[in-house]
Amino acid sequence: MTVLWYTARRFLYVIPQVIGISLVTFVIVRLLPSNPAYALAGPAATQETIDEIQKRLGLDQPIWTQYWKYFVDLIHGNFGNSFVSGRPVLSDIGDRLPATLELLILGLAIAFVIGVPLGVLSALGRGRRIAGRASLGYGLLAGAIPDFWLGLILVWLFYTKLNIAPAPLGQLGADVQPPRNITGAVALDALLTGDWAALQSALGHLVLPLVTLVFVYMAPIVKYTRSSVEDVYYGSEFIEQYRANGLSHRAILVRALRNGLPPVITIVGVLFGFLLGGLVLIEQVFAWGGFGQYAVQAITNSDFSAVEGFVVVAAIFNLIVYLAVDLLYFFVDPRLRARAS
Amino acid sequence: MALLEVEGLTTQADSPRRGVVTTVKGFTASVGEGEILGIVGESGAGKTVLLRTILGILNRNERVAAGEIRFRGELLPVLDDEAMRPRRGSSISLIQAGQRARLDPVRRIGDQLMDVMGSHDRVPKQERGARAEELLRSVGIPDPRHQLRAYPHELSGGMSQRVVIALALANSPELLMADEPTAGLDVTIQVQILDLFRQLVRDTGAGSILATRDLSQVAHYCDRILVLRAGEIVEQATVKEFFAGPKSEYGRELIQAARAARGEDEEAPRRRRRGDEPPLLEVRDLVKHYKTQRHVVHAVNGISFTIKQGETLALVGESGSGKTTVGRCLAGLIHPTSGQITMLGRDIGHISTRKRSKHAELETHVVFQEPRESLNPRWTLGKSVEEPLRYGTRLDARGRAQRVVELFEQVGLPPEYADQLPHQTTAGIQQRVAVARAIAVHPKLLILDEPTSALDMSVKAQIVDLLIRLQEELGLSYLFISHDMTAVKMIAHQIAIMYLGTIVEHGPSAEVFERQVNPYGRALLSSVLFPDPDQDRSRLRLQGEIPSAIELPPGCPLSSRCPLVQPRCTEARPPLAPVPGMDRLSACFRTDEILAAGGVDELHAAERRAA
Amino acid sequence: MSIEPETRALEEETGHLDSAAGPPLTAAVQRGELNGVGGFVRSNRALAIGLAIVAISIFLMAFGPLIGTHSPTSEDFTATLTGPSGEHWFGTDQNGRDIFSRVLAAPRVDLYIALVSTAFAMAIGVPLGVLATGTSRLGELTGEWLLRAMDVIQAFPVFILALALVAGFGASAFNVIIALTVLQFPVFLRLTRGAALGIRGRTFVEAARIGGAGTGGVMFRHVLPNSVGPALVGASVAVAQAILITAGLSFVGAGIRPPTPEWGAMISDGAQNLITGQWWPSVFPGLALGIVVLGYALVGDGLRLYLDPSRRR
Repeated sequence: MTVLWYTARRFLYVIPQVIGISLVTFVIVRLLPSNPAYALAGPAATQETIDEIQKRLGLDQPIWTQYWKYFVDLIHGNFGNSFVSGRPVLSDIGDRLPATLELLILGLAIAFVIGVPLGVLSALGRGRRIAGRASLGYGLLAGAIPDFWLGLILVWLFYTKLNIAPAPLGQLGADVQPPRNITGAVALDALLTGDWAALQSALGHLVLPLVTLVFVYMAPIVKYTRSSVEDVYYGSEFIEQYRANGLSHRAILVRALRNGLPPVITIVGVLFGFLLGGLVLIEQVFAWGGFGQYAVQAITNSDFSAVEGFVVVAAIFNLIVYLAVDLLYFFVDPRLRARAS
Repeated sequence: MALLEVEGLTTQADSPRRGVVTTVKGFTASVGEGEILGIVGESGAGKTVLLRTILGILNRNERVAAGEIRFRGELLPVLDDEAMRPRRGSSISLIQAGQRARLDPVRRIGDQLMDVMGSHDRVPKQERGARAEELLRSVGIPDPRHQLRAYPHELSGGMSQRVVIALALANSPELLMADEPTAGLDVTIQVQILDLFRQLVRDTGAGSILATRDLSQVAHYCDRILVLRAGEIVEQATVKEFFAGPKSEYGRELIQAARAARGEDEEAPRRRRRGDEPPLLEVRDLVKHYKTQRHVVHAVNGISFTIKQGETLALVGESGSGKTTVGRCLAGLIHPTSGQITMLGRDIGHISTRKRSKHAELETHVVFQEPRESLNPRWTLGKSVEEPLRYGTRLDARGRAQRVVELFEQVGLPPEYADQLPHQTTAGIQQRVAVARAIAVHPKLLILDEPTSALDMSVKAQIVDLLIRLQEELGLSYLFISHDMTAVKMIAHQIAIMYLGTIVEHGPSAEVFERQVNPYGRALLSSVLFPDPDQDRSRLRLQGEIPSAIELPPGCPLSSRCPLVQPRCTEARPPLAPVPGMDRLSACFRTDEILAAGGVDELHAAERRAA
Repeated sequence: MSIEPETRALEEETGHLDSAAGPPLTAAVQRGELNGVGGFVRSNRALAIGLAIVAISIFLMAFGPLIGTHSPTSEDFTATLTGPSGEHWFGTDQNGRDIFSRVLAAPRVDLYIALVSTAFAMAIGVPLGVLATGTSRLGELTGEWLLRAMDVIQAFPVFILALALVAGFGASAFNVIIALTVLQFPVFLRLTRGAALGIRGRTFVEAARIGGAGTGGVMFRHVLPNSVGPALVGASVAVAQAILITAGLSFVGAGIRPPTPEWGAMISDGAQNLITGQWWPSVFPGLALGIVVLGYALVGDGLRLYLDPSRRR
C-alpha cells in the first residue's frame, strides 16, 4: 500500500517539474538569436517571404501569447508541428524514439548482464588483484575513449578491412524490405512479424553499435559493482557475522550481492537517462535515425517546436527512469519502505 | 580434558605501515566445560584476533606462526577455512559487538536464524521454525512469533544484540565466545545482556569466553581471568584470587585504574559538597522539544538545578535521558523551548555562543566525547587551542602564542606538541588539548559531555585527575555529563540522575552512590559494575526497554517499567521533591514507603512476598 | 563519453550522505594529511602517469602549434590524404594539412576550453554550494531554490543542452566555454554542498562555534577548507568530460569548425575517409584525445585515493 501511495506522490511531484522544464526550454529556445524563418526561407528570400513564414509559424505574436498557446497545447498532448517537416512533432518523435530505445535497452541489458558478474568476479574471485587491476584499466580506458571514435574504428576494422560487418547505414540493409511497422524498432518488428530476412539484416546492423555502446558504457557498471560488492563483502559487520556463523561462501556471496545492489541500480538509471540523448554520437556514426539525431537536426534548423518536444519527452523519460530506480530501491531495501511511510 | 586448549599460539599480521606485527604471542590457556573465562585487555591487546583464530576466520593479511588449538582433544585446522566451517556457528560460536550492524539489513530476523541452522545440520529441517521462535524467547525478546518477521531496523540496540546472541546459540554450541558483547549499550541493558549470557552458559553447560575491555564485567561474570597485553598473557588466575591480590604489575595497574573511585582507596578523596559558595549557574524548568515534520521529540521536560562555583554536578542517565541536550542548551548551541538559565545573575538562555564570547565570564566551553572529532584535522593542536583566544580576548598574535604555551603546560603537555596534527597523537593527548582549548579564555563553567567514554581505562583516570586538578587550581565549575560511573564517582560533588527528560534523583555524589531512594536511581546505580567480585550484587531490575522520547508514557516517565508502579503513577508526574531526613531530592510518589521499608529493594521484596 | 554518468553518481554519493546505498564519499575521510604528497605520488604509478600526461597536455596547450613539423592550418592540395610518412608523420587530411601538427595544436583549443570552463564552473559552483547549506531561514530557502534550479538544469540531456546553447549562440570557443560552464557548475555545487553539510555537523565545528566563531568564520576557516576535496576530484573528471563534449560537439558540426585544429572536428572530417580505408585522419586525433582524457581521469582517481586513506591499496 505504501508503495502505491509513494508512486502516486512522486507522480504528482513530476508534473510541476515537467512544467518547469517546459517553461525553461521554451524561454531558452525562443530567446536564442537564430530565427527559423531565415533558415526556412533560404538565403535569397525577401523580407515579405520571411514575414510570411513568421506569421505562419506564429512567431510574430508576443512571447506571452506564444507561451500560453504552447502550454495549452501541451496539456492536450499537442506538441505542435515541426517547422521543418510540417508534421506533428509527436509523430516525428514517435518515428525516431523506438530506434534509440531499441539500442538503449538492448545495450544496457547486455552491459548489465555481462558487467555485473564481471564486477563481482573482479571483487571476489581468485586472482583478485589482477582482476582488479584489469577492471580498473578497462574502466579508465572505456571512460577515455570517445564513443563515436570507437564506433568509427570498429566500422573501419570490421567493415572496411575485414568486410564482416554491414555498412553503417542505419538499422537495415538497403536491399532488404523493412518489416511491418508495429513498434518502430526494426529488429523488434521483424521478430514480431516473423520476417526472418529483415530480422537477420537488422541484427547484423545492430552488432557494431551495440558493441560500441556496451564497451564504453559497461565500464561504470563494472566499476560500481566491483566497489560496492567489495565494500559490502569485506567491510560489513553483518557479513563478518555470517562468516562467523558458518554460512557457505556462496550463501554469503548472494547476501553480499543483495546488499551491494543499490549503487549499481543507481548507475544503470543514470546511464539510461544520460544515453537517451547521449546516444546521438553513436547514432550519427551508424546513421541510425534515432532520437538524439532528431534533436541535433532540430537544433541546427532552429526548429523550435521539435526542440521543445524533444526536451519535454526526454525530461519525462528521465523522471520516469528515476522513479523506477527509486521503486526498485524499495523492493531491495526494506528500510526505505519504513522511511517512506 | 578441557574443552578448549590453546598452546603456544602466535599469530602475525602484515601491516602496510609497520611490516610484520605479532598480534598474539605464545598464548597458552584452556577453557573447561561450563566455565566462563574472562579475557581482559585494552584495545589492540589481541583479544579479537585470538577469538577469530579459534574460529578459523583470519584476514587475508594474517597468519598463524606457531602453536596449536585443540577442541575436545582434536587439533583444529584453523588455517583451513573449509575444514573449519562446519564448526563455526555450530559447535563453536561467537557473539560480537555491534548490535544492529551485525544483522543483515535486508532480511528478516527469522530468516537469518534459519540461515544459521540451515548452514549446519544439527537441527532437523522440520524443527527449525519452532526452534527459531524458541531461540528468540530464550534471549528475552517479547512476542517472539511476531518478531520473527521483523527487520533489524525495527529493533532497538539491545534487542538486536539479543538476536545476535540467538544466532550464536542456534546450533547449541559447546563453546560460546563473546567479544565485547555489550559495547555501545546502555548500562541497564548491559547487565541484562550479561545476565542473559551467564544464564545461557549455565543452562546449556557450554564452556565460554568473555573478552572485554571492562575489568568490572569480568569481576562479576567470569570464573577465571586472563590478562592480555600486547598479545601476551600477563597473568592468569581465578577471579577471586586476582581481585584479592593481582600478582603482576600490569594487573595491579588495571585494578587501580578501574577501581580508583571505589571510595575505599585513600588515593581518591571523596568530594565533599562545598558549603557556602555562591551559586554560579541556575537552571529553572528547562524544557526542550524538537519539532520535526511528523512528530515532537520531548528531549527535556522541565529540569531545575544549581551549580555553585568550584563545584561539579554530574548529569547521569542512559540514552534518551536528555542529558546531552541539557548540555547543549547550557553551552548555547541550541535554544531552549522554555525555561531559564541564569549565570551570575544574567539570563543566558537566549544568548547564542557567539555573542557570549563578548563576555568571557558567561562563556561555557565544552569538552566532547570523541577527542579526535572535536579537533579540526587540518589544524595543528596549537592552532585549535588558539582559536577561542581570537574571539574571546584582545591578545595579539604574540600574546596568544604565549597563552597557548601556558595552556599546554597547564594540561601537562610539552609545548612542542603544539605543532602536531591530531592524527599524529593519541586520544589521551587529543583530549588534553581539548581541555586546554576549553579553559583558554578563563571560563567559569565547563561542560564535559562524556569526556572519558571513548578512552581506554588508564587514560580515563589521567583525564579525570587532570580535570580535578584544574578545578582546584582555577576554581572551575563543571557540568559533567556521563554514563561512566567510575569517572563520575571520582569527580562529582553532586549527582543528578535523569530519565526521559526529567531529573529523578539529585543529591551529594557520595551519598547517592551509597544509597539510592528513587527506583530508577536504584536500578541504574545498582547496574553499574565495579571491579570487585564481592560488590553487592543485589539489583533492581527494570523490565523492557527505554521508551522513545516521542511518545512519553503518561504520568511518571518510569511508569512503563517500574517494578513498584501503582495506578497513581500513570495519572500524574511526581514532582522532584525533598526526601525527608536526608540531603536528597527524588521524584517518586512512593518515597515515604521506600524510606519506611528501608530502601527500594526492600520495598520491592516485601511487595513480592505479599503477592 | 561515459564520464558524465559518473559525475552524476559521484554526486549521489556525496549528496545523499545518509542514503541506504553505497559507501559515502563523505568529507569525514579527509584526514588532511598533506604531508606525504610526494611519497604518495611516487607509490602510485597510475597517478604519476596521469600527472605526466596532464603536464604534457598543458605544455602542448601553450606551445603545441609551434612545435609541429608543419603549420597546423596550411593546406597543400598536392598531398591530400597521404598516409604516414617521413614527411608527414601522421599523414595528411583531405585538404593536405599535416595531421601531426594539427594533433599537437589541438590542445590549445580543446584543453583550453575544458580548463577554463571547469575553472568557471568551480568558481560559481563551490561558493554557491557552501552557501546552499545555510542554516538561517533565508539561507535554507535559498538553498532549496538553488537545488531546484539545479534539478532543472540537470534534467536536460547533457549533450543536447550543450548543443542547444552552442547552436543558438553560434559556434565559437567562447560559447562552448559558456555552455560547458552552465553544464558543469551544478555538479560542483552539489559536491561541495554535500561535503559542507557533512562537515557542518562535525564536532570540531561545534567547538569552533562555542569558541565564538560566527557563521562566516565557521564557513571560511572550517567548512570550506575541508569541503574542497570532492570538488577537486570532480574538477579533473570535469575537465575530462569537457574535452569529450567539446570533441563531440565538433563531431556533429556544432562546435569548433575547421580550419581550427580540434580533435573532434578532425575525427568528423576523417569519418568518411575511414570507410574508404584512409584511417589516419580520424585515428590519430582519437588516440590523442583518449590519452589526454585518460591522463585527467587518472589524476582524478589518484586524488580520490589520496583523500580517502581507507581506500589506499
